[in-house]
Amino acid sequence: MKRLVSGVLTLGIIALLGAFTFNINSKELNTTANTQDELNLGFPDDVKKILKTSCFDCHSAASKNIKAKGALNFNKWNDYKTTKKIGKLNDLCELVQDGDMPTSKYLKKYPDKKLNEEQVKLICDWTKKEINSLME
Amino acid sequence: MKKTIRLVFYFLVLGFIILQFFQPDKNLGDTNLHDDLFQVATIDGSVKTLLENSCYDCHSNHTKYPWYSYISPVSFFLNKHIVEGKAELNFSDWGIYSKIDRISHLDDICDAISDGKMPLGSYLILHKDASLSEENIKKICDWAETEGMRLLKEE
Ligand code: HEC
Ligand code: HEC
Repeated sequence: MKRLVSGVLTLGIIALLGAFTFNINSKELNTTANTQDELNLGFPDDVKKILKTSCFDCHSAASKNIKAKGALNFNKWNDYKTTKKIGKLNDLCELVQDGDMPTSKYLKKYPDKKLNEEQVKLICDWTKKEINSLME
Repeated sequence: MKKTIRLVFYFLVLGFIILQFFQPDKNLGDTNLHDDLFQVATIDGSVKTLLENSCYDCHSNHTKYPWYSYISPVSFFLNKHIVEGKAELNFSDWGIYSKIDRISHLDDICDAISDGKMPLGSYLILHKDASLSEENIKKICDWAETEGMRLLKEE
């Protein structure tokens, strides 16, 4: 009986420690997100705010989603060749317009991260402008 | 009991035979018309061959159908890939795409083959020769980049 109690107690402590580490982890995530805020992308503030809220979780260096990060990583944006930038911007507008990004699975968890019509327009107006200036 | 099994079997065979009368429309348009990638882009013969062998069955207006692709339901699976593949990227329509879309597709092409996303895995099971070696992936990517840069600089 005593053994059982101490077993449960140990488990409880482990669980607590686990939760604690997780907490630290999420804090770390937040700090990286903050560094991204200082990431000099040269994007307008309103655009960057939307991207940061709805996209950076998957499309930045801190992301654990390897597929997403491979397809688009804003921390590497400045290293992208001009043609790649154009390609990604072109896809970006299309994907948010069709409601394919953020992914539906993610939106089930974070419904408030869905872009509204106004935000989609803001993003697409910006990608078009940006593409045109890259094409010069 | 034995009789039931036999009956079910006959039923299935009959179903399969009837299914053969249903076939999706075949993707057998003309090739190499004036809007085709091969007519519009700057592209050399070796890259052409690679794209033709590995991509054109699903990304152009003309599919080379092997014999088993005439069997339902295989034909329906293949057709689904052709319809969806062409909606994403149709090399037969290259000339109709805007310059921006072309640059964008070129970038996606290199990404898709480098990640092993394309050609589709299900296609490679029966089309081993469509599989791309590292060397061929590099060849296509080099071409895609050069062509993208050429379009970018073109007036
Ligand atoms: C839950 C994670 C997640 C979120 C959040 C997310 N994406 Fe994605 N995104 C992905 C994944 C996964 C892929 C890769 C899909 C693939 O390769 O099939 C991707 C691919 C992309 C691509 C590359 C497409 C290409 O073929 O070049 C763009 C552009 C993109 N996302 C834009 C966005 C934008 C803009 C947002 C925010 C509005 C966003 N994503 C939010 C997971 C996410
Ligand atoms: C068996 C049919 C099939 C073959 C062969 C095939 N594709 Fe695809 N492709 C598809 C389908 C279906 C889609 C759309 C769905 C998807 O993205 O998975 C697609 C989508 C694409 C996309 C856009 C998707 C994206 O995420 O950017 C590109 C680029 C592409 N294919 C390139 C190629 C290239 C290059 C080849 C040859 C090396 C090739 N495909 C061979 C069926 C095929």
